[in-house]
Parts: sequence; C-alpha cells; structure tokens
Amino acid sequence: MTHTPTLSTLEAVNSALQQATPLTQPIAFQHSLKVQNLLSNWAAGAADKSIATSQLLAFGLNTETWGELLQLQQAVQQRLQQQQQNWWRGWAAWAQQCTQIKNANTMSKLVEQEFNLVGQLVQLLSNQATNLATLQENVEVDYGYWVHEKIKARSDSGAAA
Amino acid sequence: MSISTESKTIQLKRYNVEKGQSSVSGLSSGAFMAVQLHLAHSASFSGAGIIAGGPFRCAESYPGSAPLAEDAYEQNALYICMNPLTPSTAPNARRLAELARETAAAGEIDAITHIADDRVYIFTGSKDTVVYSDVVARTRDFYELLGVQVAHIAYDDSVPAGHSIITDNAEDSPLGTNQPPYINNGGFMQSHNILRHIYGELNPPAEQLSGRLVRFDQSEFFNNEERASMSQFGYAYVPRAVEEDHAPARVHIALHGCKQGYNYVDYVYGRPDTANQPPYGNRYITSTGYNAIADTNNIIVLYPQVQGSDGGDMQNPDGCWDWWGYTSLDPKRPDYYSREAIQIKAIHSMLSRLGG
Repeated sequence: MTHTPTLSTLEAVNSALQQATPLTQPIAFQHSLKVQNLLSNWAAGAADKSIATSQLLAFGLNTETWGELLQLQQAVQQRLQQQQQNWWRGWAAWAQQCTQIKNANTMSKLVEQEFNLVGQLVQLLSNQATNLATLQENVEVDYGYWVHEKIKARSDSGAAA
Repeated sequence: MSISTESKTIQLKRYNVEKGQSSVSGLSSGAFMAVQLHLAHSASFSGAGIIAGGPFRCAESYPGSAPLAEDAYEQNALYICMNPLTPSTAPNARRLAELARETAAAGEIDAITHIADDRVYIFTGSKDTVVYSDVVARTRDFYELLGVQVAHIAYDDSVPAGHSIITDNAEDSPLGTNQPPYINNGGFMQSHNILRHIYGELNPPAEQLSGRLVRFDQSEFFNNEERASMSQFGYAYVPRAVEEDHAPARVHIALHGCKQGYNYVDYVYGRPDTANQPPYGNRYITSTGYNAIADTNNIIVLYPQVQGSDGGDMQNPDGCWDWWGYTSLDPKRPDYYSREAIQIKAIHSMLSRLGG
C-alpha cells in the first residue's frame, strides 16, 4: 500500500520545519562557541603544561624522572598499536561482510543491507576518530598531572630539606 | 540462580537490623560510590567490597587539567582514575588520604576513626581495560593510609578477569572480556567472597531462595529530583526469617556499575535507543549471587538504581553513580562525596528506613 501524505501530515511537517528554522542559527552559533571554548581551553592547558615542564627542567631531571618519561612514551606507543590492531580487525570484518552475498527477497531488505554496510563504515570511522581523540586527551591530562606531581614532590622535598 | 521480582511495588519498611553492621559493595562506578558511601557514613558500616574502583575524591586529583572545574573532574575521572597510562600517572593515594582526613575534619563525612576496624575486600582483574589495576592498587594503599589494618584488607589482583563482577553462571560472558553487562563467568561467586570477607564465616548459600525480592519506589528518597539521575525503582532482597520471624538482620548495599541499571538505555549516535533496551535488564540484581548467600545468613540486600542522561547539562549517558560531581549544584564546590550528596543521602535514607 502506498502512503499518500494527507493535508494534516503536510501541515504538521511544515509547522515542525517552521518551528525548527528559527532555532537553527542559535544552535549553529552554540556549536561554534563550544568548539571555540574547547580550543581555547586546550591552548590554555598546553601553555600551562609547557610552563610546568620548564619548571621541572629547572629542578634538573634525575634517572627516576627519565625512566618515568620513557615509560609514558612506551605506554602511548602500546595504546596506539592496540588501536591500530583493533582498526584492522574492524576493517577486515567489514570487508569480509561486503564480499558476502546475502539473500534479499524484497527491495526493502536489499536497501537495508546496503545501508547497513554504509552504517558500519561510518561507525568504524567514528570509532577510530573518537579513540584517537581519547588517547590524545589522555596523554595531555596524564602528562600534565605527572609534571605537576613531580614539581610538587620536588618542592616538598626542597622545603623539608 | 535467577529469581523474579514480585509484581507489586512496595514502600521500604523497617526490619530488626543491627546498627553499625551494614556493609556496601559495588563494581566500577558502583565501587567508587561504595568507597564514598563507606567513608561518608563510616559509623553505619562494618566493611566494604570494591571491585574495580578507585580512591575517595580521585576525580579531584589534578584540578588544573581544564579551566572549568566540571571539565577537569571528568578528565581526571577518565584519564587518572580509570585509565592512567603508567603507574606514575595513577591517583596519589597519600594525597587523597590527606584529603579524606580534611573532609572528615570539615564535618562533611563521618570521622575516619570508624573505619579502622572495618574489613575491606578489593579486587582488580588483571585483564581489566576499563579501570586499570594501577588505580585499584591505590585504593588498597588509600585504605591502609587511613588506618585500616592490613590483615583486614583482602586484595586480589591474581584473576585474569576483565572489567566485571565474577559469577559461576554458565551464560555469563567469558572471564577476560571487558563488555556489558560486565558480569563474567569465572567459576566462583565473587559476591560470596565479598560477604565472607566482611562478615567472616557464613552459612552456605541457599539452593532455593526462601525470601522475596521486592521492588520499591526509590524516588521518595531523592524527592524525585532530576539531578539525582536515579531510577524510579530500587530493589531489595529480604530473607524469609527476617521478614516473617523478625530475625536480627544486617544490610548489605550492592551497587551496580555503569550500563547495569535495570532501565539502562544505550545511546546510539547520541540518542537514547529506547526501541532496543539491552536484554540483560536486572541481571545484576537476580544473578550475581548476593541473594543466595543473603538468604541463609539473614542479610537484606539493597539494590539502589541509577539511570543515564545525556545531551543537557548532565553528562551521564551510561547510567553511572556519581563519583566526579555531575550531581553537584555548584561545580566549583562539588559535594558528590559528602553526606549531603544527593545520591549518598538517598541511599543512606534507604538504609535508615530498613533500620540500619
């Protein structure tokens, strides 16, 4: 059965569109503001970390500090490798599904199957981007925390001595 | 063993509960909340069970990570308290123990001296990639620094488990996995180990439950405030001897983790997927083994429930307990850890209603 839109349906859609349109601008503005805020927060954080790093360098780096820095670097490499492995596994599974021929008795099923593949592709890309951003944020927060902990420990031991 | 809930919704009532003998346990966000609840109301508790949880006020480890307090707490929660890259970026137990003492001195939580003779079970799976073992090891250090006797702390990091509460149910996930519903089959009931460590020798768990699992309206305990992020219903298992014979009882509060509440809804592309609610529903309440051992030992098990919310000011899509301040009215002065925290207040009011 073909569904013909009735007048009331069209009116409802039209009314919904009219209601949504005036909101579009403020929402777009809010989105750009959010991005701006996050970027300026990130810049402030980066500046704070570089100042803290200079402070730590002024104390001089001992073997323990070097060791911990190396450990941090290795941990990041490991996480990246793990992410890459997961990405390859995801792509391999997707590629395999693309090559499989599935039965589709109806046109709607066929369309659904095709869009499932597109959906999975978008999901893979989205996961990859999110995981990478998460790791980057993790490194920034952990490094900042580590530097501040080091400076505090040095200051405390300096004060005690 | 799984059981069904009674169909009617009741109001929680008072039982013959021994005061000061209650205990609390939880997984993941439930474990972080268990630590907070344990410290906030230490006079009410004799022990705690922490599965994959971090120390008290961990989310305030590095306030300088972001200009806005609420952003910093969330980043701290994610990257220092759950997923530190190395042991040197894990929470600082000494600093947090000092903070706990300061919090007690300020009167925001019970006196720390109450926990000195408590018994604490702490567990981390060696394959946990959600809350890393480096964090949980600091929880052990934290309790030791607060004066809990080393002999009273059972710390286990030897099981190759993923992020989960462990059961012996054949249908639960393989032991090493890190996926919802975070209930993994390791061939033993972890809930039994927790309760045995806290209360000592216990009767064997029941083969057939004699008591009843009740559903109660928990909204009265948080005045139905949206910011509590708590579900409408909570659950409690009441053994028959406690219900009918008024036998002396103890209360154990079992706190589920993220994505484990009875009404958890997955967010797909940022929208709640209400058409496809996850199939595991209230398995944390019915199949984790708490009820079976509670039944034969006159322990009431209280299961408060939290729910998710996303998109507005509150960012709690996974339905986690608040351990980073999302319920706080003023992000600059968070109260999520104190006796006045909306979730802690609600859970403790439930405990008081039961008589604990």
